[in-house]
Amino acid sequence: LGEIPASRWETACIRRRSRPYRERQPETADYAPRLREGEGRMRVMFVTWLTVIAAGLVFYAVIGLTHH
Amino acid sequence: MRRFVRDNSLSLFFLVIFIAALVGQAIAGHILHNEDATAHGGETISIWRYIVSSDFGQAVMENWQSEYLQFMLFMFATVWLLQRGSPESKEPGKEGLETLKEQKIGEHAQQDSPEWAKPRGIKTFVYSNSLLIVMSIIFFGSWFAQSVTGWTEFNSRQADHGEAAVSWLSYVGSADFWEATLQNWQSEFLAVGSFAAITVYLRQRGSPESKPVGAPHGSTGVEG
Repeated sequence: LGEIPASRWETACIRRRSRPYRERQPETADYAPRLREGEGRMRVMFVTWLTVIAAGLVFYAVIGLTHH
Repeated sequence: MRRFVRDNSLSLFFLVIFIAALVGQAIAGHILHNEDATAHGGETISIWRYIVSSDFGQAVMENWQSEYLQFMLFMFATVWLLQRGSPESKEPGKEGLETLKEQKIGEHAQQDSPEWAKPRGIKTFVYSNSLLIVMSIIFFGSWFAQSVTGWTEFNSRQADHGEAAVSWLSYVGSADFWEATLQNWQSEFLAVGSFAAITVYLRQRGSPESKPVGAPHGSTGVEG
């Protein structure tokens, strides 16, 4: 658990492999830099997908409105 | 480059097969459109003209809107509603928006939390609902695009049959619009509802969409 003292709640989460424990992982000192490391690469995909969707919506809304 | 592909393999994979499917739909739709035109004594068109037509646009948009409606509703419903035993659901007793501490908001935000999670106020409210907001914008945007492309197509058919064109408002109240809309919605609701229930008892080893293979059927909100 790194720097986080294991509470009964966390021990229970680890045993159940549940979401709350995973979400607490960034609190550990060695995990945070690894999270930040890939942020730029993730942003490329985030922007790509939103651009594809927005372009599609606007394109076909204009096509429909211009009675194409 | 290799690292970029590995880190984004899931979204890249779906981007590639999305484009491939869209190209395939355009090719098949173009062939069908021209076969139909030939059978009715009309003019055939180029594939580019077909891609920029309301016919193709409506076919694409009616599927897009239903997918984003699915995400939007599922996200909203899972805040308040539960399916005991499903990895897609929260554990019983956790219904609702959860506490600031559980959601790491305001003074409970961590050093590396997103900036908009740290202040309390409108920014945090917007960021707290940003996924639902964006899904809703995409849903309503694509539904609107479906309505205007469908309207143009509908009026084109009306003209072919020597009948009067209808207004956009009349079209969105027509059976043509709602048949196209609801045929997509029902399949999304079927898929999401059945997935929530089926994942209680069935597993896919290694998938975060499933519980771990050995997880009890009764455990809820547990990812594999």
